[in-house]
Amino acid sequence: MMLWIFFAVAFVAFLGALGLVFHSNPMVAGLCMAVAMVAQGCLYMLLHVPFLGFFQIIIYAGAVMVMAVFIIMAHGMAEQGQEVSLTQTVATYVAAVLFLVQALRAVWNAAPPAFTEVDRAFGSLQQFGNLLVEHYAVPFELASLVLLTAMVGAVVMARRIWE
Amino acid sequence: MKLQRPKLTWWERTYFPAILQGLAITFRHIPRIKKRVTLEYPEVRWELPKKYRGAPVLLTGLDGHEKCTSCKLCQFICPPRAINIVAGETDLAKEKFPREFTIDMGLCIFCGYCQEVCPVEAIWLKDEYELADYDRTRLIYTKEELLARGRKPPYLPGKEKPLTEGDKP
Amino acid sequence: MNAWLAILLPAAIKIVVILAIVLTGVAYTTLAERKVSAWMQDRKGPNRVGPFGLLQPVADGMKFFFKEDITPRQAYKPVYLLAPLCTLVPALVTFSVIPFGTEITVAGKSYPLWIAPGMDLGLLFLLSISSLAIYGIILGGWSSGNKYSIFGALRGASQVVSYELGVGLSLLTVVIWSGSFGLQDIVNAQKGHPWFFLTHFLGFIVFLVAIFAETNRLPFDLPEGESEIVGGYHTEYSGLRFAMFFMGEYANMITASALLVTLFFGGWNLPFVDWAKFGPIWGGVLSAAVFFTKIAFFLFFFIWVRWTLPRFRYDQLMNIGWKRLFPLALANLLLMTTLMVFFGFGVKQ
Repeated sequence: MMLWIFFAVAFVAFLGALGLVFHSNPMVAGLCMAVAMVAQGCLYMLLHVPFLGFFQIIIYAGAVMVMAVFIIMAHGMAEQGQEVSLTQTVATYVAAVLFLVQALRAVWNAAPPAFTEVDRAFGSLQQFGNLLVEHYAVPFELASLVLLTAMVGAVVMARRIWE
Repeated sequence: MKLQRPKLTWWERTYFPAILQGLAITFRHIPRIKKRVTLEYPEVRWELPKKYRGAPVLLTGLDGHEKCTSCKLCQFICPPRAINIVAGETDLAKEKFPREFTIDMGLCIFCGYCQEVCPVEAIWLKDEYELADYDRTRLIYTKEELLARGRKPPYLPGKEKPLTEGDKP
Repeated sequence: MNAWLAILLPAAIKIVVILAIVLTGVAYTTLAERKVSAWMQDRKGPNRVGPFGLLQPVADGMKFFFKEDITPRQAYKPVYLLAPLCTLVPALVTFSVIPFGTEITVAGKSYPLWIAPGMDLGLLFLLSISSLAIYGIILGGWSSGNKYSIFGALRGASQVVSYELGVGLSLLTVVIWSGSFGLQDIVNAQKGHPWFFLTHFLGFIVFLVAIFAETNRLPFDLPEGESEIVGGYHTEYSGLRFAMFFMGEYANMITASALLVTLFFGGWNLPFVDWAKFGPIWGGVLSAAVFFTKIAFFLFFFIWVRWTLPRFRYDQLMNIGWKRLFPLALANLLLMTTLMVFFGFGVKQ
């Protein structure tokens, strides 16, 4: 039962990802990405980390993708469809194939996963919170600092263009 | 000119007093059952003003004939040219009568010039206003129709008796 | 097989009942909107269809059903046809985690009065689903191929990013205070305690203001903005597809009211009343009745505010969202956590 749900959700995620890469209309590509994000959230839930799944949906599908779609709409890119040169296309496909080969090799060479029973608390909010505050506090704060720097930089650059 | 904006206190700047005031005002209107302004139209009707200008009609004289002498003054003054008269001869004292008299109600703008200009008070703007129809051709009123409308008593309250049967205003 | 049936059958019954209640509620909220707005403007409101106009929603539904369903030539078809569903479905799905009453005990087994009893992350589920509801507006507005529609979609998208932070942060204090993301736990935390709108007043105000933006109601109905951009994102829609947008909007209103009641007004609780005393069945029914009465009050409040306040300007909404609600919610979070950590407030469960 779980396996079939997994396949269904994974298929949707896969379709969304394909749509993101191959659809010529940037708006539809963005929406496909949102679909992939939601499906990914569902995958987290299948892995018994429901709140991570919910956060995935709230933050990525509900906020980040809305922002991206907003920018696509505001720039009027939705109507144009970007022209791409032949070299760009070829380079993209070569890179994609190389990446695919690498990914397949990594999966092929990986040791078969050792299934271990996890305790009931696995994936609970308490456990997650404890880990975040005790073990990963410094990396987490560093990541937020990086994001803050990026934001300040974006504002500075935008102001320069404005003036 | 420079507008001097009123200085607001901190509490006023939160919008809350104004919002609460507004909510109170709208809420006070809910129980005012007696003061509802809705007119439930087909059953209850608006009291028309005395000089209301509705559909133009032709009036009949005491002799039972239409008062119109086919002078065509109304036809000439009508701004949208809604009136069309074909004159004819008659043995009556007035010698001329309208063989045809049509008003295109699709064109009429209810200005009342025809009534004002008419020397014999043969045309009159009555208080009828439910004139809509599904067919434009039916909006062209013939002489018979206009006379029939003129003979009908006024059907709305609040309007002076229209000048039928040849009496003077 | 029997085990599955024992789970699925009560769930199915609950889904049917709650959907019926909610959809009827949607229909009659539209009537209430017209009636209340009429009364506030010294009018009588619809009173021709049925006694006091009570059958008006039925007539409206019939009208929607028989209207022509127009797809504009310049529309992006697949998305255009999908968009109304993207509004309606999230609005209806959110009801699965809202606890409507205590529980009904039949034949020794107690059935809690909400659809997904095992959900201990109900609030997160609700937030994630309602954050997807914006896609209906964006998709509908963009795919219509109409300038007014795309302006509506743009406004909707930027509106959502400016109020959602305020919503999340204002709800966080409630979650920390009651120690759970489960909506039933939050309701239980208000049993015998002051309701959260008293203890979390700042958070309540922030949430109340933001929820008007969430439901696209006046004074924040910028994506529609009839007087400026015709109908906003649903300008081009007609017939049943427009009805879906319409129902989605009102279903969202009911969800928002239910959320307000659950989080800040004690859910099914009444002060000094213990529903367990009313017997196995009546306790549940009465508690659900109380819950729906509270929802009705907030629906009235939504309508009341709509017919009182004018629409905010676009930049004013952004200002309120980012410069007022967001800092206020942060201050509230700081205040409440300080109270809890250093003064031992909060509900222990």
